[in-house]
Amino acid sequence: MQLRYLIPFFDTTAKDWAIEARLARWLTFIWLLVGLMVMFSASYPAGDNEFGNGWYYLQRQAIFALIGLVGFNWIIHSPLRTLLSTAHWGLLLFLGLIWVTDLPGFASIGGAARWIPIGPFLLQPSEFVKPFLVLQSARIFGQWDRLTWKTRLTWLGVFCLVLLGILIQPNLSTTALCGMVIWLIALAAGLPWVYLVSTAVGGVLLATLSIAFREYQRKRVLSFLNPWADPTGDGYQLTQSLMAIGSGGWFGSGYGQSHQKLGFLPIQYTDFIFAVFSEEFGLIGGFALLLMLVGYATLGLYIAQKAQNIVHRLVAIGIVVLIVGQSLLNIGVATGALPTTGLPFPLWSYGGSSMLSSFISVALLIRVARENTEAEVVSFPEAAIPRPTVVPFPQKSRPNVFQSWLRKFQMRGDRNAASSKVVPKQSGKPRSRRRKSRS
Amino acid sequence: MALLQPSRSNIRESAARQVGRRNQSLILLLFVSLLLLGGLGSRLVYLQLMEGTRNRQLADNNRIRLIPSPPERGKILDRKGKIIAGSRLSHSVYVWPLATKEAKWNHTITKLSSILNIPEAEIRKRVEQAEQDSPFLVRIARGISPQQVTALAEANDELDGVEVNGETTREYKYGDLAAHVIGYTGELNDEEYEKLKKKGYRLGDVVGKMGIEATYEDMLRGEGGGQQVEVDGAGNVVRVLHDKPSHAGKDLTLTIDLDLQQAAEKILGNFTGSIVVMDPRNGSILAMVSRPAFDPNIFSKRVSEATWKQLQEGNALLNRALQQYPPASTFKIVTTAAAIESGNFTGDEVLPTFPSLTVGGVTFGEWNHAGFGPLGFTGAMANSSDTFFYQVARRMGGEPIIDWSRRFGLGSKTGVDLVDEVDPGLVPDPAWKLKYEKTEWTIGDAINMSIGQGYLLSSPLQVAVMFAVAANGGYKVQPHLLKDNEEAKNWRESLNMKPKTIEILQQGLREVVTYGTGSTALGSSEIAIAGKSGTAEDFGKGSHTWFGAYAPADKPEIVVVAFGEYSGGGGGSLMGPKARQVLETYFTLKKNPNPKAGSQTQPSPTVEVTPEAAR
Repeated sequence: MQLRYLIPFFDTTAKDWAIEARLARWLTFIWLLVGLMVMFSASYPAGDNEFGNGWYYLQRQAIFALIGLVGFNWIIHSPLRTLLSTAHWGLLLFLGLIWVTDLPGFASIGGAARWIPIGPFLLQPSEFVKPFLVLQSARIFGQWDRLTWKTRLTWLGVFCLVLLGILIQPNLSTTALCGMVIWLIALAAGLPWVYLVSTAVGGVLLATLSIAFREYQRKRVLSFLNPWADPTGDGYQLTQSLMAIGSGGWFGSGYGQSHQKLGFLPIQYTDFIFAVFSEEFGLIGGFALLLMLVGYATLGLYIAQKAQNIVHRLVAIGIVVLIVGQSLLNIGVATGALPTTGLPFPLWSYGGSSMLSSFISVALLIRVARENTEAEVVSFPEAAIPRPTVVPFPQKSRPNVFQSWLRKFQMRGDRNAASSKVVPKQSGKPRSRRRKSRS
Repeated sequence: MALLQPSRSNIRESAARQVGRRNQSLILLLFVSLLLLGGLGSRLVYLQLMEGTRNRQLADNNRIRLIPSPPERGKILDRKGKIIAGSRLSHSVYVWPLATKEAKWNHTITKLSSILNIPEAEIRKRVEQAEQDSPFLVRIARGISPQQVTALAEANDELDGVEVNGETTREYKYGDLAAHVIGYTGELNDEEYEKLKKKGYRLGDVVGKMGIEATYEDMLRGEGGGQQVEVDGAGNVVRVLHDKPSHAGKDLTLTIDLDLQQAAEKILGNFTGSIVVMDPRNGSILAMVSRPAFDPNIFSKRVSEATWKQLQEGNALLNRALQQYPPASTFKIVTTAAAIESGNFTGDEVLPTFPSLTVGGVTFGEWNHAGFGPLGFTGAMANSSDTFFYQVARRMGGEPIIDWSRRFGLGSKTGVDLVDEVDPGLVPDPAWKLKYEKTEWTIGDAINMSIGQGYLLSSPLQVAVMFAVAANGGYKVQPHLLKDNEEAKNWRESLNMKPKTIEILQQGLREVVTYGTGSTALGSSEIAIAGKSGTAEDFGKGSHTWFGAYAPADKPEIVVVAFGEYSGGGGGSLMGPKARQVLETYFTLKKNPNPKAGSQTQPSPTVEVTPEAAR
């Protein structure tokens, strides 16, 4: 890979990409630019108030965006296989960091310890863990029938640890989002209904318990049902947000004209950025944004549908659920349709962790789109397969299994495009293997 | 756990599903996300179009702000139109928390604190107290000095969201004069705010806290106005939307005669106690003094901890004219009336008096430990003979005394227009005694009560009403302070006493001064004074002393009650001269309504008193 590929402007390869990949890329850029614009408007008064510099937040956000773009391009130019095979390291790293934030005495902001200070920046591991969670879930559920119970349970355990670590930060909304992403990937992977239903029930129960035992969450959840009951206390954020959105009307007050951002609406440039957007651009703007999300979801699912490799498909689905789902949840919170929780709007909300994580996610989707159709990027570099390079699990689970699977998979390459019905024939083997492993 | 034991069918199913139903999950996801998007879209329509007007209005509340202009509080005038309480322009400092920049807030507070000399914590507390989205300014100081105004103006650049506005401050020109009658004003405290919120009061509003200021708050307050302005994020006014002028409160003219009040204050001097001056014909109060006093002006600014503590220690805020004490021998008016009105005595009886009298095994002493020989009712009054009234009480029992105490207005509030009158006093009766003392009523209780001792409690104002009954020929009047309070002025209730009773009461009270316990102190006055002394023993702390008087004796137009709390000594010797001085001042003022300052107090002979005269 050439270094210039890392900078989007100098990356001239895009014109050769598949149409879906290019569309996704452009959609991402539009999303980002609109986001920066909205973030600038929303954060100007706060920056002016707190630092005497209205551009403060935009400058930092722009830096994060540039860093994010480099990562973005790097991922787009990296084979998914490589990414997949290292995903578990990323997952384990951020799992560790999440649990570090859970240590007592950690700096807490707004009643929750979610950040690790690194120099002047705050690293939010629960944001970074999301794309790795998608990759690893896709790996596990995409190859579910080929894995031993030991491997399955180990990774299910890791997922549970991730969710638990985020939950006790406490960050119920991110937990819920991650849980939903994992669950939907499992669903798309075709896992038995019994598993899906029982984990769903378990997840809902856990969420209920968590809310029931934490007063701060319970109050928040209850306040969303009737924020006007306590508009100066628990319902303050939401009522201010509703006022902002409500005063938008058809066309909004115009860019930069939001009044609610002037110190009335709290965290207006992070979690409640949609409220400022809605106030300034009205119902028309809101519908345009929803339309963009529809477009993104459709495109993402189209990419998923086109993916030949089940793991790739699951990655695409996971990313769509992650990005679009998070956006919808954020809008739901701002409009009072969902309990008030702290979930950033991807690529819009101020915050480096969220920005970088979103870029990683989007890049993965585009990479999937590229590998769907571009023969030269679906590659094992130099076409040499000296040894199994795919998905070596840390527990060293039977290289021969994967080796054989890998070879078949590779040979199938183009055949799959013609007919995907070849696969069921394969499913007999993993079963027999599993029986062996049990004996 | 289901995960551990997947059944065969499950595996088969999952294997089948993995391929065949691939696109199903995608369609499901797309369907769900469309559903969610549709839901959010309709939520947006609901919020922005259907509820849009309401939401916009609420948002407007955020940026539209009221700059209140508090109404000028009504003045309080004395009966001749002199201003006792007025208003003066002063400056107040306001903060609008939403307009203060967070980054500079600490600096702003430090700066404000140093200029205004208010602890930083207090400013913070004030600001936190205000509701966060309140469109109102938060006042953090009022009545600041011109120097402070200048200092704030100079530091204007550093003080974002801080405003100095002119407003009126209550001013009591005469300081502590009639402080207990007038009361004082101050900012609403939290409890009061909760109560008065509905009436349109806001945090930081000034409200009457005591006396006339509190009683007639509704009349004095007036109606506030203000400017409705639109502000930008920095709190700068963009435009004035609406301007509503305020209406001043009503001026109140009191029955208080400022000159007489001034004289009475001087006469009571540093005694802890009270002087009440009342017109017995209609109940209008000409002067009401309570000592120790306080300067109501201190409440117009921030009251420091030290000042507050000082006020609390001396109970200076207590209006002693309305506190309850044993009325002592002044009560013999009621005993006499009860004796004759109940039919047990004709009024012509002559009874022997003794050094002491033993009833039911208890010995009740005469105050001079000797007795006065045989006495009639008037003579007994003049000498304040205790054993005479013991015999009266022994013969008629407690019931007539209790009954007539109540008719004279003891044991119930006088109804004076002061919110500070909360204690109705106490007229004990058998039921009360059984309930609170857990013992039966005995004749001893009646005997104690006959000379105004025992459990009996009355306020100086109630005693003044009692004297007014004797002075005006048998009518209970309504003490009042508002001059054009026609209802109170014209209200009087006949006690339906026989002319004989009134004659004996008036003659007896006159004889107190002509040759009795009040003669030393008051006998030499040019004015025909009638009165009665009283000394209530309070073991340990010194006696309470009373002297109630009215004049002229034949056609009374003024009643004075002078009272000393734990003053020690005797009523006649201690309070008698004070009552006399007040009366003399009254008549001097009557002759010469515009006295020069300082001439109000007539030099009165200082009287050396013998113990006899003390009663």
